[in-house]
Amino acid sequence: MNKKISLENAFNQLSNIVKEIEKDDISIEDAIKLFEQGISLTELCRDKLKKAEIKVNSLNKKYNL
Amino acid sequence: MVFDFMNKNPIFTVSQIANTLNHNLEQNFSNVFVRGEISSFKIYDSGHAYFNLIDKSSLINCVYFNYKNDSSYLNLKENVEVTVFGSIGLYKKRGNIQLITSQIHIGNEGELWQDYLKLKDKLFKEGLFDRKHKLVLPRYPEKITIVSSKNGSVIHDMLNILNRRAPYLNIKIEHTVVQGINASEDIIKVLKKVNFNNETDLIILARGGGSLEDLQPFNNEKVVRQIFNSKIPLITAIGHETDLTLSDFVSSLSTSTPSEAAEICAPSIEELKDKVNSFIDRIEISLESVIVEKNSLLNTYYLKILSKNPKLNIEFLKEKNNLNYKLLFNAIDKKLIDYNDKVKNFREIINKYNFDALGKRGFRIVKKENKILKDIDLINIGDLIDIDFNEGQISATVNKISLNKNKNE
Repeated sequence: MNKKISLENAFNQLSNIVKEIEKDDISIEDAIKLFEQGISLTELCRDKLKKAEIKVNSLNKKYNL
Repeated sequence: MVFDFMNKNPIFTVSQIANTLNHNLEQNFSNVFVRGEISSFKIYDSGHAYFNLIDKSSLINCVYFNYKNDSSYLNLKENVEVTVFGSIGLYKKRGNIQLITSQIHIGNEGELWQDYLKLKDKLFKEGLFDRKHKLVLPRYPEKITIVSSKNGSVIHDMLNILNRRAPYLNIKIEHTVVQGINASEDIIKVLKKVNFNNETDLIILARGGGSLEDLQPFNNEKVVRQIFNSKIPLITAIGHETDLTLSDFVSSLSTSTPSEAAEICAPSIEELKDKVNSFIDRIEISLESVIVEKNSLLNTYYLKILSKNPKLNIEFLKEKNNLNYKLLFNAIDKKLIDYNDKVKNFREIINKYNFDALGKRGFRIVKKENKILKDIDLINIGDLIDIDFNEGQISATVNKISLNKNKNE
């Protein structure tokens, strides 16, 4: 998974993945593959958000905001 | 008086006589120079001066209107020798003949003065004295050249003043003879040289006071024209307050004395210091106001940035990501349930097809109380059982149970 992907882009991809999975004619194998991709993307997003949060919290603390 | 009794003589009125007399006087005595000595000089509050001009045997009444406004105004003493320029007229109310004066020259140099006035008139008409020809003086000269006699108190006084007031000036002294027959040529030569070298911001042409004769070089036409042609601004500082030479008229600026020229030719060091200080003050003030302005701008931006603190945004995104997570699981769960259902359906269909095939071969399902009987032990004699056919069901009562021999083996 490309780690340089932006959050917004990741979210859009996730939204598409969910839509794909929800389609009636998708094979279970494809659904699972997409699901795996989706989970990996959400984990990536979580990671990014965690890092952003740590950074912002440390900044807020540093400058007493 | 001889009367011509043969003809009739006209009788004049007093006014006719006075007018005719005045007319004749004006015809013959307009713009005349008269030399004499002053007696009983008096200036009235009106500003007009009344005096008599006398010589050994005669007296003429003189009036100088608005004498107080004249640039060369002086309270003249008795017995001073003068040359007066004006027009003779009759003061009709009193029958007095009087000289209406327009200029007075003190001293016995009437001819020189006449020449002076003639040349002044000529050069004035030529436009040499026009303001438009005057060079603009430098506000902050750095190099000045004094053209004067290196001997005498004039140069000494000027240097004293300049060194005290404006020690920053680079002063050059160009010596010239300022009196006598060679003076005009010498002055012209020096002025030409200074102009040719073109190394100075300003020229001061200076000479102490003196008689009209003494100042003659500065009324010399060639000198005046040389000053007119100077490409470098030139200040004249010739004589005393009342001495106005033609050089003064043609120069960029005329000062009344050499000392005055030294005072005004350049700003004093104090003045310059004040100016620099005021510039510094102004810069500081404007700098301060710029800083205040930038600070307030910075504050505005700071507040804007604060309002965009990503902390809130991150919370929101985390929620959104969690939702993504849930949606994914929901989607896959639903998908799995769907597949389970499908599998179940298939199984039922398969079962159904299996059952039909068996039915055709004579196999039947036996149910008791609507439950498929899979074990003979659950059946007792007298039980009601149902048997399914494709076309319908039949109900029966169990009459006999025979177990197969190998059942319990």
